[in-house]
Amino acid sequence: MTDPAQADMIVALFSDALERSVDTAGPPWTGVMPRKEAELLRDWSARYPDLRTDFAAVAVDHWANAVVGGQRPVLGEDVPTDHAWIADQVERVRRATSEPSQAPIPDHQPPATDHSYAPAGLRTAALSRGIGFPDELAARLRLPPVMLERLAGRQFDPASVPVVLIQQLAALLQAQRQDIAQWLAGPAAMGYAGMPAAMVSESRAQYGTALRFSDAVTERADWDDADRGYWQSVLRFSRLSEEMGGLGDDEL
Amino acid sequence: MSKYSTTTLSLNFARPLETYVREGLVQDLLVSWERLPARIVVRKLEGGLRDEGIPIEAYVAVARTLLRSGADGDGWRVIELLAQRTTGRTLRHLAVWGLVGTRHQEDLAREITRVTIECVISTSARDEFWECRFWTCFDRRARTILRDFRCGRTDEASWDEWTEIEGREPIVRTHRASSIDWTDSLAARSALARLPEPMRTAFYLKHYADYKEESRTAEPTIASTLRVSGRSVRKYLRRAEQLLDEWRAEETDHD
Repeated sequence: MTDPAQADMIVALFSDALERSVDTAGPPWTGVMPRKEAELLRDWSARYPDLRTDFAAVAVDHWANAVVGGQRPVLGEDVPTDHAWIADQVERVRRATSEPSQAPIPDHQPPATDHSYAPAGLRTAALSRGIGFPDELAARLRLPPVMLERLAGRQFDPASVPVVLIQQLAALLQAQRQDIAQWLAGPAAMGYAGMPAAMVSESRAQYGTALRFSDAVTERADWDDADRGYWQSVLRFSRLSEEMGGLGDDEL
Repeated sequence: MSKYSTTTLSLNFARPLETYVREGLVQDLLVSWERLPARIVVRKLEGGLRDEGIPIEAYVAVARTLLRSGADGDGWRVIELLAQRTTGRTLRHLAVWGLVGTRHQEDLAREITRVTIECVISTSARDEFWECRFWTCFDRRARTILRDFRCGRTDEASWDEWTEIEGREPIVRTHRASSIDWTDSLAARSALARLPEPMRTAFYLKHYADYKEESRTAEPTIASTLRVSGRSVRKYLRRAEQLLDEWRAEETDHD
C-alpha cells in the first residue's frame, strides 16, 4: 500500500518519466502509443497498484494533450468563471475553517516516536521481518544489492541519503524513520554489512571516505536503467540532505 | 478587496519544507521576497495572475506563510488569487468528465475548489507537496472527486445513461469501431481525445496500451485500472465506439 503522503510525489515522478519517455521514443503524433510509454504505465501500475488509476489518467491526459494540444469541448456560457463566484467559494471555506485560522497555524506535529525499534542493522532488521537480505530488500528498494550492502555498512554520507529511501526502509522494516536516519548516521563499518568490520569513531568529515548516494546513482554501472531513473527522479525532489545539511530529527 | 487587511511584515516565505524541496525557480522567487513587506508580495501575486508568470506553487507557499504568521487577511487574499488560477483547470476536468452544462457542474466546481483550498491551508506533512507540484496534486484531487461522483451516484446500468449526449439518440452503428485504424489520422485521434471519461481511458488502454479488459491474474487491466467490473468496461468500450461512429458519420455528412 502506497503511503498516501507520498502518492502525489509518486504520480509526479510517473508524469516526469512519461515526459522523458516521449523524448526518447519519438514524437507523439506518430500515433501509436510509444512502446516505452506503455511499458512505463504497466510497470508503474504493477509497482504501485493503488495508484494505477492515477497513472492511467496522467497517461491519457498526456496522450490527449499531445494529440489535440489540450483542446476540450467548448465550455458553456454558464460556467462559473466570475470573480464573485470564486470569492464566495473562498469565503465559504474561510468561514468553515475560521476557528483554526484565528490563531497562527502551528507547525507540523512532531511524528510519534516508537523507541521499540532498536536498529541492530539493516540485515538483522530485514531478516527478522521475513525479508531476504540483500537481494529481496534491494529489489524492494530498487537498489543494486551492492548498493544496499554499502548502505547497510553505513558507507554513505547520511546527509546524501534521500528521505524517500529512509521512509521506504522505515516502512519495510516497520521502524521509525528517525531511528533509521540516526542509525545511518552512526559509525561506518570499514567493510560491507555482514563482514567482520573494523568500526571507526571519527565522523565522516574527518576520515573523508563517505560515499554520496547521488554519485552512486550516477556512476555505478550495476544499476537497472529503470531503477536508476527512478532514483534520479527521487533525488530531484528529495535533495533535503544537501539543502539542509544533515538528517537529524529536526530535518525529518 | 477592501475586506482584506494588509501587513508590512517581512516574512520567511522561503522556509524549507519538511520532506520535499521546492523547484528552484519557486524557491529563488520566495527567497527574493523575504525582505519585502507582505503587502508588496501580495501585489506581485496579483500581477502574476494577469500574466501567469509566477508559478502557482509560490502562491501556496506565500499563503501558508501568511496564515502561519497570523496575517489572515493577506493569506486569504492569496488563496482567492490561487483559486482564480485554478478555475480554468477545474472546468477542463469537468469537460473531460462530460459534466459541463449539467446541473451538477457548479456543485462539483465548488467541491474541487473547497478541497483545493483545504489542502492549501493544511499544515499536514502529506500536503507539503502542493508547494512542489501544485497541478499534479490538484489534478489528482479533481479526478478523484469527479470519479467518486460518478461512481457514488450511479450503479453500473446508469453509467450508460449519463454518457448519452443530451437530445440525441445513439445512431445505429454501421461498422465496428474496432475495425478502424485509430492511429491512421489525426482526425480520428482527435475524436478519441474528445471522448468523455471513463470511456476515453478505457478505449485508450484497450487500443493504445494493449490492456486486457479483465484478467484473473495480477496484471494491470482496464477493469482494475478503472476499478470497475469487466462488464462495465465492455459497456464503456461499446459506448465509446458508438460515440466515435456518430462523430465519424457527422464528419462524413459534412464532407
